[in-house]
Amino acid sequence: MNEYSLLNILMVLFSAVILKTYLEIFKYKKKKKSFATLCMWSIYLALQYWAMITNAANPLVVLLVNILSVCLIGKSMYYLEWVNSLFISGTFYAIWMMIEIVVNNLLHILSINDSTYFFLVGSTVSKLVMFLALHIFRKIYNNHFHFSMPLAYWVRLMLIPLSTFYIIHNTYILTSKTDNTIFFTITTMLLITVNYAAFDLYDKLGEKAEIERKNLAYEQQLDLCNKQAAECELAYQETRRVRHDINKYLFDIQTSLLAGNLSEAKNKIDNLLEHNQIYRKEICRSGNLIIDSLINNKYSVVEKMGIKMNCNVFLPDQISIESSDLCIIIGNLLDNAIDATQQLPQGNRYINLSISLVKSSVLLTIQNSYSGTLKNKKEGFFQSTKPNPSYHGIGLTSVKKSVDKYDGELLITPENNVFQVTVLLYPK
Amino acid sequence: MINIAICDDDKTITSVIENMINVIADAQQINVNCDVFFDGASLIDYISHGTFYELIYMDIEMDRIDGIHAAEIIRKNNISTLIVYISSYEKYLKDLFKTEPFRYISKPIDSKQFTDTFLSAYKRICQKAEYFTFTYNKYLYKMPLRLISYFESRNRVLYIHTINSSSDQQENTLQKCYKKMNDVEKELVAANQRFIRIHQSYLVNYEYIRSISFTAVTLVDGTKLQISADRQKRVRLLFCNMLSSDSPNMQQR
Repeated sequence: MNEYSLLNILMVLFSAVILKTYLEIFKYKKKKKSFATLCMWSIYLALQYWAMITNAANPLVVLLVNILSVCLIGKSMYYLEWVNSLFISGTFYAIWMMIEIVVNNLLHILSINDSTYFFLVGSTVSKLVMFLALHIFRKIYNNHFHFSMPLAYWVRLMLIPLSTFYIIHNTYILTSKTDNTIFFTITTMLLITVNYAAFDLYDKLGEKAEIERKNLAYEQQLDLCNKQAAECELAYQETRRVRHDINKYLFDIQTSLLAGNLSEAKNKIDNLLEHNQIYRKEICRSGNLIIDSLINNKYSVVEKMGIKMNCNVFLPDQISIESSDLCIIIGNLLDNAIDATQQLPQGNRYINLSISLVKSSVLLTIQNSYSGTLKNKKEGFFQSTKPNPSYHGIGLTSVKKSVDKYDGELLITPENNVFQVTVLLYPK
Repeated sequence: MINIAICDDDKTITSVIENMINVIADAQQINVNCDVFFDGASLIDYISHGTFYELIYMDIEMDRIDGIHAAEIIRKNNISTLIVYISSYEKYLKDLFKTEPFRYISKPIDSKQFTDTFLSAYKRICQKAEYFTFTYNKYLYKMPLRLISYFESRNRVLYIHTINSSSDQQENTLQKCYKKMNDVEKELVAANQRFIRIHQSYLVNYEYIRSISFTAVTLVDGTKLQISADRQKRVRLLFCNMLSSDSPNMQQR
């Protein structure tokens, strides 16, 4: 077995990589790298190598010592309780032992009587399977199944480790009869590297896609906030104009009164009230400033596009839903409604919006007319009808994320040419 | 015949409202009876002596006892009364919502909004004029559904909780009958009554729910009832649908 000692060392290092991957799944807070950590890792590596070389030691003792050493590594690398660390390392070895048993039994089916075979190929294959299993475990643990790339890509990725098993098996069979151990060593090393690289690449690409998604959502949020800021500015200018105008109107009325001309003064006041010249057109005056400004801002767009809008808001002026979430939810839903009605003829465009606080929950209902056809996406919500569907179409997903923050409910019910979205939120 | 109370210290407003109601009632052939009050105290007094109003128009800013406080007192014993607040406030106070008002009308009163509100209220009232009949000990009982907060089934007996019964009351003081919960549920659903089966043993009146979470329902008197795990999603959706069917302005489909 000494011919394979180089391979053994590499296998031990691969075990270390596996262990590190495992520990990182749980995302505990990391401690600063200290000398103790280095010690623990060295002890662990030494133990592994020794366990590999000598087959005489009591397996149970080896197992317990392994669990303990992993526990110590965990404790020295992360902020963990002893119990948690012990539990994690126990689980690690439980999974690994199960995998080794399965691999061993599978290899037995091949009825090869070479014990070195079992040792080398078996341990390599089981390490590889462990590596795979950890990746799957991590996906499940982080609930990333629907965010990463679809199953089809995963299947293609699996071809790599599966082919690796076949190649390792055959390479061993071919080279064991000769003295050429270097060949097997290098082949195995390369294959392990290829596997590691493939999975690493897959992970990084998945992360990148996730970051891009988040960025799009942030951009949208920024956009809405900017619009809101513009609206605030306009509102302030309006206040100044109103103050200026009121002085003018009052002065005007005062002149009439001083001249003793009561009927003229009354006419002027009637005129003012009738034309309501003091306020700009507002569709929503609930007193809740954020919602009012959001809806009124959109209303200017709505009006311009010839959409009839009906708005009923019945909420206290302060609710414990964050304004950024309100921005995302109301902004996106209104945008979707506006876009949908655009595709209809002028007379048939309408939006009904209602926001109220009922039974301690915030209920938002928005209805709009639509053309009746919806495209379905493979995952997530509908396909966007906008010209660049892969770039657009994250509106409803953003809304869902905000709704989930409050343990809420998002219901979409298209029916009878009326598209209705209902959002229920439970203020914290 | 619907009993309506109008409570406002401004005589012009009360007469405007009374007139509008009569106009609508005539047009729609609805039988109404309007009582006018000029302060909250007299309204509370009348109600505590047994008169039940299906609909109350309440002004918020009154002199002696303001509208919201009056409503709170009335709500203690009358969950199903529809309260419509009238006010000239530009914003809604948080206390307002504790009384679960039906709608809000701002002064000056817009006649279309008023008509819409009235008709929605009427529709709601019609839905609720139902009774729960059952026999017990050879007597036939008829209990208005609006008084029932929830049904509880325990040891094959169906207990009927009303607003005046607290949860730790003795079994022998609650009304009971031997109907099966599933049958009662079917009967109520068929009559479009809003009762939610949150648990094998509990059938709750939607009107009496103050708030709801994934795992439990809190009633207006503070009683907390568990929602069984397999019904959680269904109850959520049902609650959502019931809430949204109350929304104003929405086209009902």
